[in-house]
Amino acid sequence: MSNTIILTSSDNVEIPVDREVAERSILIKNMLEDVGDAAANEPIPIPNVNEAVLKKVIEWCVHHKGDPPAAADDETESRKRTTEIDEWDQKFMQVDQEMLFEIILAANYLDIKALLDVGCKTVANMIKGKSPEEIRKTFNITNDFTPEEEEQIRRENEWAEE
Amino acid sequence: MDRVAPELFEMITRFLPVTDVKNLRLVCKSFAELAARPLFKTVQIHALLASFEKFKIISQHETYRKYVQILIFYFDIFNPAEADSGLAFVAAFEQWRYKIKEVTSRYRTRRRSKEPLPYECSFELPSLAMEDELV
Repeated sequence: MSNTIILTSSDNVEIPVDREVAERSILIKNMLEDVGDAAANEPIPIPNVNEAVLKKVIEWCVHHKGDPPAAADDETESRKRTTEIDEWDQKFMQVDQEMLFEIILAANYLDIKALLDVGCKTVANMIKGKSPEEIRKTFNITNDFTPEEEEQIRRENEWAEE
Repeated sequence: MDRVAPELFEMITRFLPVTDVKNLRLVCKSFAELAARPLFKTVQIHALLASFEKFKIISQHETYRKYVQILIFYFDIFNPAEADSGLAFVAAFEQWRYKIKEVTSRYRTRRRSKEPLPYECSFELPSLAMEDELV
């Protein structure tokens, strides 16, 4: 009946965490349900996430422990979804780009929808209102278009709606 | 950013207005591919020759025709019959142009088929029993 479980990161570090906190991850929640309480004392391997990222994800889960479950997504309204992020989450996401994308990948793997949304919104806000050249600078991307190819994309974009 | 899987890329674009998704396509070749999927997911069809032309181009494009999932038809048809002067004609035209942007009577359909759009697109319009008066 332990309330603490142990997660093992990809670099083999054991991290104890409150079961309720860990269950923000649907992946872990389902795993715990599958193995039953008897096996819940054994460390749970999280092979895709290293210690630094896992600790960061746990920090987020601790802060959002009491959050109500997110409402079901209405895909048709997705375009109108706001990119507002609450203050704590904004601070939490002030990390280097490497870490930001690691957090997004981990949230996706661990199936933590709300954290995944915060991560995607953070990236979306880094893109919003920027020119293609500014986006390249932000993410350190090389322009690999020939002028003709770029013109072709511009033409294609006109087919899509505003 | 370039390590992000296509599904995650699409998730990020969901939080972006269309203009930003278009700019993303102009960043580099891989982004042009990745951002095409969300961009061509919804196609709006107005009662305008140019709009039909665009729809035709998309339906004949090898890649983009696969991405179309939602078609939106707009039914307001421009009819200048009531305009008895040049000025009234222009006013009626402007009003109509405004109307088709403001989403009045429209029909939205989600394609059930996962198949690409057919090359020769013909579709049966639903009966025109719309709340809006069709002039």
